[in-house]
Amino acid sequence: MDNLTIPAHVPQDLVRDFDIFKFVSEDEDVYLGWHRQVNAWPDVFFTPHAGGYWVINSANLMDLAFPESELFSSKDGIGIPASPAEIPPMLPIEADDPYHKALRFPLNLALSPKGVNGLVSYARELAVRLIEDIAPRGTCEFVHDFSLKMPMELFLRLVDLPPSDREYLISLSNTAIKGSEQDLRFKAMMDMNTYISKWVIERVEQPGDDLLSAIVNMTIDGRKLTHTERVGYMTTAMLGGLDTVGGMMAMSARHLALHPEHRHFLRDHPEAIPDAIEEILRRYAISTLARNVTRDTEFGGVHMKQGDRIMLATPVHGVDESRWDDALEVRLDRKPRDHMAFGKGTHRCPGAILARAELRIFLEEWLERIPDFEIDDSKGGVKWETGSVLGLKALPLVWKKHLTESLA
Amino acid sequence: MVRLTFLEHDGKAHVVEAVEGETLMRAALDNNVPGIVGECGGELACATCHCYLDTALSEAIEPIGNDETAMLEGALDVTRESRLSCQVLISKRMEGATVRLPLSQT
Repeated sequence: MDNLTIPAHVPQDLVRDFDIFKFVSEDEDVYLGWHRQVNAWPDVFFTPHAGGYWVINSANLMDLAFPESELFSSKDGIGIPASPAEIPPMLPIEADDPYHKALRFPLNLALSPKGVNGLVSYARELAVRLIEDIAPRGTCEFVHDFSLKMPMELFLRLVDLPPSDREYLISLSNTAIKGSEQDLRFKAMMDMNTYISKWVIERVEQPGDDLLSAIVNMTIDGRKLTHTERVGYMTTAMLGGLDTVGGMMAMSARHLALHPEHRHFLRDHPEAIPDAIEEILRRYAISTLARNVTRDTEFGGVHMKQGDRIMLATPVHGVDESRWDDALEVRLDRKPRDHMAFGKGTHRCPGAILARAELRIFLEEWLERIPDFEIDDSKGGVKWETGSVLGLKALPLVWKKHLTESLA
Repeated sequence: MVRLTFLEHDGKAHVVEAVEGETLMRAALDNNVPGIVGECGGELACATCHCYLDTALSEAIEPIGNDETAMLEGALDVTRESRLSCQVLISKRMEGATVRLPLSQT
């Protein structure tokens, strides 16, 4: 940590060498890394990496920090590190109330029970199509063959963009969030903005009844959105809904590949899938968000100064032993209340209802068609993805073909 | 305290003693009434705390606002009696009232 500066108000004993992009290797279970850290390090510590952050390292403090949207503001960036000025703010997440709340409305409506209800039959069709293509092969790389594809196709449907752009957008969004170098991430983000920009202009001129049209044509305090606002909003909607759902699908598939007893139980009791999803969301939360401290304050016994940044890593919440008994253990009947996978407070994930529906449909259709599957270690096994959205880079799976032959 | 009955869609009744000044959503969640999800925690952002209230009572206690009407668009099976329970504050006038719940929030 030689060349990293530590502000004068940060006590030395609260400084830890923590880099969210590198704290475990790709062969290590990232949740075990978080678990070690949550239960061994202080409830709040400071890392000088990525511009310097306070890391909220406790479920209980996270419960308190998330709803404090004035003290811990989002408008100056929720990224780690914050995006450079030439990248439009990611709206509505990089905005504070009341502006944020007004911006959220069309998104809330599109992702409401009624909005999601209109998507589920297509989502099921899509899941079945993708799974029936995979099942007869007896093997797949789950991430590329399924969990990147299903959420992207569903999103393209929601915003009425051409399904043929799927692969291009998967590659861009993957790099924008998961690229190993900051320059690559920002370049992909700029390319994404260029792509979106074209469609924004088209839907302003010729609106349809899709979410993209609803967002670009909304008014806020009697004015239209600017082009920058529109582009920033759509880019966020895309990134927010793809990587996260795909990541959770991959975590679910990995868990079930390792736990035949859970897999068999859910196949025989599909009615237990919604509760199982909540427990998997608790145990395998994936998103990390930053906030900006707006005034000098004491939080978690630590003196923070205006302009400091804090890191809210939702994976911390589910693996905190002081909050959950045997936190690493997945208990399908745990029915966790108030897990943090979707955050809390005004910025709580607007896509929670859709995410749950996608996970439920995926599990129902997959377990019916591929009831037994394992991790294929001959293909390198699981590759973990660290960073601000956790995920898997690779999840090679294998199963006995005869179990699925009736579908071929 | 105010006595309220939450009536599930299948007819199952939950009588609760609710705190005046709290929201109907909070009273349902705190008493483990199934059928109110309250996904967003009361931010008027999700339409998963949908309930039905007698129209006259609804008007008398807290007429529906524009933002609530707009968000109700996102709920399922909306009727003239529909409300989002995160927007209804419990008052003495609701003593003995019945809050009916929809078939499903999602």
